[in-house]
Amino acid sequence: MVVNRAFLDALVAALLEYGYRVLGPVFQNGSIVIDDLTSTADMPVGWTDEQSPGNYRLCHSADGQLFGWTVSPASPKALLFPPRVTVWQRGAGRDDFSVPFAQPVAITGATKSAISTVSKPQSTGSTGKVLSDTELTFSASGTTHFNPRSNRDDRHLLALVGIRPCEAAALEINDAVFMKGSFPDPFYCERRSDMFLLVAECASSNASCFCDSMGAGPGIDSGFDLAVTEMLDEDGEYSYFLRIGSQRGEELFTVAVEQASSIGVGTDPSIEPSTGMDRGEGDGKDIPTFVELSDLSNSVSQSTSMQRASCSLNYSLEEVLAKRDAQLQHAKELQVGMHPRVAELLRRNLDHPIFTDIAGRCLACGNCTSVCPTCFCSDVVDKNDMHGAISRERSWSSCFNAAHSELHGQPVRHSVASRYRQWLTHKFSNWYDQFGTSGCVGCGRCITWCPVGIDVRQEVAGIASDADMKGDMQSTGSHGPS
Amino acid sequence: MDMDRTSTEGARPRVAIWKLASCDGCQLSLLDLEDELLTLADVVDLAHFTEMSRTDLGGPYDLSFIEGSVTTPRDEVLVGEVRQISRRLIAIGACAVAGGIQSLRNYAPPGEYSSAVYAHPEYLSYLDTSMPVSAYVKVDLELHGCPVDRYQLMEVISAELVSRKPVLPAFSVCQECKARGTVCLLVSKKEQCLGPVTRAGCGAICPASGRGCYGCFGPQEAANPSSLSMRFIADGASSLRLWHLFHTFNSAAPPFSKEGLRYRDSASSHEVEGVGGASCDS
Ligand code: SF4
Ligand code: SF4
Ligand code: SF4
Ligand code: SF4
Repeated sequence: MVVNRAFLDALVAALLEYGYRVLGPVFQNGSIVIDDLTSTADMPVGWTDEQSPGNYRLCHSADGQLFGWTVSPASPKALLFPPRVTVWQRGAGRDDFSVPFAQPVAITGATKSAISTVSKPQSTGSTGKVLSDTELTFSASGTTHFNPRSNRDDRHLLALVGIRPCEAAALEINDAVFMKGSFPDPFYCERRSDMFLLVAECASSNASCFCDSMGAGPGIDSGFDLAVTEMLDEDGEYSYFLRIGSQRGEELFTVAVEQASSIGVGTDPSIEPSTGMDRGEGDGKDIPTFVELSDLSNSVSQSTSMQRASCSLNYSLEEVLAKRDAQLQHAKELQVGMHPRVAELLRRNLDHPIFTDIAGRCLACGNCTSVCPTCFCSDVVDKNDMHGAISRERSWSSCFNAAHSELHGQPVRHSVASRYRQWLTHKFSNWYDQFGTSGCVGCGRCITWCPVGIDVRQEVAGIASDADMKGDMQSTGSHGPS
Repeated sequence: MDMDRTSTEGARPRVAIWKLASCDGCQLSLLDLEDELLTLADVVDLAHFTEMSRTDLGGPYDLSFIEGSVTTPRDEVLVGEVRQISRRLIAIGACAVAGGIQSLRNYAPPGEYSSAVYAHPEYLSYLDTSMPVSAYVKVDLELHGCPVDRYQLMEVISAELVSRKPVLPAFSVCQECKARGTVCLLVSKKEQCLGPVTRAGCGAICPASGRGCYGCFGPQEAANPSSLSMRFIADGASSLRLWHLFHTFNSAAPPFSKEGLRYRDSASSHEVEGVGGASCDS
């Protein structure tokens, strides 16, 4: 169905009512950050971004577009995999051991049932977080039941609103790392398994985007609860093609419809998302069949002074789908893609001289791994303080750091060439061996936020053109940079 | 006091604080510990700390923190003596680690700076260069920064209490900047930020307050200043600006020293520095 912006606000209100902590792109101090939002007014309304290798800028275009920008500087990764957490700690006395990182429950990959646990309030040392009484329900399998208005700690019940298809794809990659292996990360599982996703499709791309070539955007066909496609009407207003991708998405939609009508903003309460849904997984051609355009022009005509939440506009489904296709096509055409055989190309060119060339430009600063929505490396250290308290802390690490490859006091990867190779081959090649997918969704952040604008697509293209000249994909030599 | 603390044979480490050519800011960071200061006095013997007390318990010392650069013949003698009576010698701050701001005179003809500053430079007794402590004696650990980070000071002392290795990052400031969620000033505003080539440890306080990193922690372990300079040049930085960017508190640290010199000779005093900044012009 097609909804207006006021209806999106009703969705946000419904999420808040359900006890979700609603997070999304928020316009704050002149930039876009992922933070709490209470309505679409907190979003970067009317802002567009320009991104290219090593450059980012926001521009204001005075109209009411919510999703005119492409991807925000930071991905939602930090919500599930925080830059720094205290895994466990023990105060100066012996009896105050606590695990702020997770509720002390045993979860294994094999556990499929929901696990309930109660944590006690914990007053912790200066570095720790304080947890309040919490009733948690989560499952290691990621299939939990939508359980509105429960007693859960809403700080753990997260809804991401307005994230992009590539970010939803990145979450699935993260799931394989943090949730599906032999050692699920309790912090991650707790927040991810009940996470609600409202994904906004892209109508445009920036010069760093290459999601199309990674199969992660600019549209989305599965892996969301609700998805919207922003479209400009003939009358200059934006409306939103809304699709439902899950049971809880449907429930939330229903609540939003109720809420919109109960506060008297004119939505026809008779709208019902139809049953017998096709969830639209698969080749992406079959848009969920539950999308039905109820003609609600009557309710719209009863408009009051405030903008009414409405669930339909006078479009035919064919028109809407055609418009969506055209927008996605436009976004794709703006993109320069990654080489289609990047995994094999890299595997065969580990000793390529380009790595030494890149090392002359690369700052080994780790901005790329920090902004990447799928980089998962961390460093774990045990510390004591002067009072005698001890703690184990986990913080983000990067393969651009010497310490990342330190074994018995010496780094294995001394040269920046070998560190860059680690980054590039892990994202685009070894990830397949490790997790069965690419480690990259083509969000382009590593390109935009590299201070010297090193572009992974271009570096891989450099290797590819060499390989083409040699007539195969093989390079010579047997030892890579170290 | 907590008896559970795993201290070495129950003995409190004997700590000394020394000063060479410096502004005292680093020792003040210790006094700045405020709430933690009493705990500090509890877990170690502050045997020699002139800024705090004139009492001197004498050596030898388990930990000697030394602030300032070696600039006079007296300094040269003192570092030798301190080394002799200290089990661990820890250089603290940009002066002790990389010569400090006063090492700018290393790049000028001898006497140029002193005659510009003093009416009677003939009364001064000083060495030709301002050098880090490590140029004269073996240093066990270096704490970077101008001034040092007080949490790093506490980390070194805490680590000593249980004989572990202190956790001190050697990677870039950018990673601390990203971890605290700052939107990069270099990429989004074309600020000339030294974060990518500078060692972490400060928590990226400058970028978080909206200005580029000055590089006060000195070069990170894999610093590549020449590549960063090319970026700044593309954004309009002059040679003068680049020279001034790299030659500040850590101008005697080899990667910064070399990069500053690269632009010094082509810098003209008439040119404008070309400081960063971008606006939306579309
Ligand atoms: S490698 Fe780069 S483009 Fe790919 S997901 Fe990471 S940041 Fe995005
Ligand atoms: S090894 Fe490097 S590229 Fe791979 S996840 Fe870790 S930081 Fe990212
Ligand atoms: S590729 Fe760019 S962002 Fe990544 S470490 Fe090198 S200079 Fe930094
Ligand atoms: S603002 Fe400076 S320190 Fe922060 S990421 Fe950018 S270049 Fe690095």
